[in-house]
Amino acid sequence: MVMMIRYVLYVFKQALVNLWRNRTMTFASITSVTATLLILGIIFLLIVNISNLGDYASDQFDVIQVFLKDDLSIDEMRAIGDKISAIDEVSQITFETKEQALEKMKQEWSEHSQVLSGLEERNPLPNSYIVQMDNLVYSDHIVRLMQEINGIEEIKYYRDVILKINSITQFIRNIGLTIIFILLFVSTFVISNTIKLAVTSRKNEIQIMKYVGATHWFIRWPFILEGTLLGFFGALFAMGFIYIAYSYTYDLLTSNFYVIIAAYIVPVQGVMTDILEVFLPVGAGIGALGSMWGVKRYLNV
Amino acid sequence: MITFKKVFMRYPNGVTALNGLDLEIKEGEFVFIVGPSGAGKSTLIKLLLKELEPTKGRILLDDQNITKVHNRRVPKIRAKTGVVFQDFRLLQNKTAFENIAFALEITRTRGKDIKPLVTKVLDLVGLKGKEKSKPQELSGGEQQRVCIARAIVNDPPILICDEPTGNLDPDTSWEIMKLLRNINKSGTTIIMVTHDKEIVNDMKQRVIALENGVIVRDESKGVYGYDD
Ligand SMILES: Nc1ncnc2c1ncn2[C@@H]1O[C@H](COP(=O)(O)OP(=O)(O)OP(=O)(O)O)[C@@H](O)[C@H]1O
Ligand SMILES: [Mg+2]
Repeated sequence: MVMMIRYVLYVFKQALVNLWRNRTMTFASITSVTATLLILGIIFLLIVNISNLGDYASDQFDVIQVFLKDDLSIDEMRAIGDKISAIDEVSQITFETKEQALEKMKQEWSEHSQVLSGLEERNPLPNSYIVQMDNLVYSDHIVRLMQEINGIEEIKYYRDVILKINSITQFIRNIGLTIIFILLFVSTFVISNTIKLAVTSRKNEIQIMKYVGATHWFIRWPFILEGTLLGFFGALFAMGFIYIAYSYTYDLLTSNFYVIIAAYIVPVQGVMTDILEVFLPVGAGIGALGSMWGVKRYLNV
Repeated sequence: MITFKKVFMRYPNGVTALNGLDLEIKEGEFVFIVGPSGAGKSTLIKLLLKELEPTKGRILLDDQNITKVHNRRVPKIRAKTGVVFQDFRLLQNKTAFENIAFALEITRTRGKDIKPLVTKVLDLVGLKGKEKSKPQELSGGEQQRVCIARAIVNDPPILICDEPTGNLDPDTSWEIMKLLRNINKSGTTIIMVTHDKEIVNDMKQRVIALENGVIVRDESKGVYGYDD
């Protein structure tokens, strides 16, 4: 037990001495891991936010909005409503008057709603039906049937928007994964080279250790710890940067009149735990992997 | 104790350093290995230290085949041999004591056993009072004594020396030889590569002469046999 503790202390001491002795490479390795994880973080945040936006969009837009011509009588409007309800795949319709539409818009714009004041007199918004369907996939079909109905000014539906958002999310995710994969490889390589340097600068010692019968793992552990620490520190730095940059961006967006976007941005607290849970293991993992690779290539034991 | 059976060693660059070498060394022997430069002496030693793998043939240590063993078992094999080189190979930033203790720490000797063991072996090689000196504060002969102390502190049955007196003047060389002879008398098998004619001729021990990777002479109370 005492020997175990002594060995652990020995491993830590050797690892730290190596890190200090080859400061330049230590710096390069940490920077490399930090950069990798920063990009990982940015892509992660983009995906989280776009997914969030996508979910919101799906919730909001999985309806078809049917705007009615301005000069219709109540009966004409009711008749149109009946025709729409008669379509099999339509599950529910809601009538929204132009006044309701304006009120809703005011609410969404909240503090900036003064822009809209004065519009009550000559409300430019049309009356509309909001059509909910059993499933988004019927939207094309339903729209085609509704186009036959007279008195409809415009049909707005957001299937394309939702599909587009989904495909953008997918695209960013794919590009992101590719970049991350390449960067992970590069970081691992950089760390393995740092280990190479550490091995070279301790060549004598390692040779002596071999001659006096040190086990391979006894010789290897300090180097593996060294790499793991490099990855770990890289992860810490990346987390710090992300936290600062993301809080800053979040504050900037929410405190300005991009308020409509800001409503859909995930707050810092919401993502930091995820980032913590991903970054530390990934950072340490890159480090451990890189150093094992370096040990295998350069530490001929 | 040590057996070479038809051992070939061909380096990747095509040089054949050992050419079907047969050799048998018994426990407790003192063996000189001599021969011209490039004969394959150091190669033979590197094979024993598991620094190289022979291209062909078998090497037995205590009846155990040490060729093609798993990496994991190499440290166990190395623990059977202590080694001393011409260029000392001490850690410059450590004292004599620490250099020797290093060998014990690495093989995970219990902490409280280290000091008495190092003190005992420093005494044995005649370096009492020098334990706090760093290598650059020691003479060549003293440095070589530290190396010998380090090589034997784990009590290996075999001590291998590749030109241990190569960097030392004749008087100091003799001191080292006396020390090695004493270690040998206490039961350790010693294999020593040397170019030192006087030493070989005076010690009257077994001499194995190597040329072009084969043994050309093996005498029990031999002489150096070359003019250089
Ligand atoms: N690592 C190596 N790669 C290629 N060839 C080598 C290597 N080491 C030694 N040789 C060659 O193998 C042959 C034997 O070398 P070795 O070092 O065993 O000679 P030696 O008997 O120890 O010589 P010396 O007395 O000069 O130390 C030489 O021709 C040498 O050039
Ligand atoms: Mg040699």
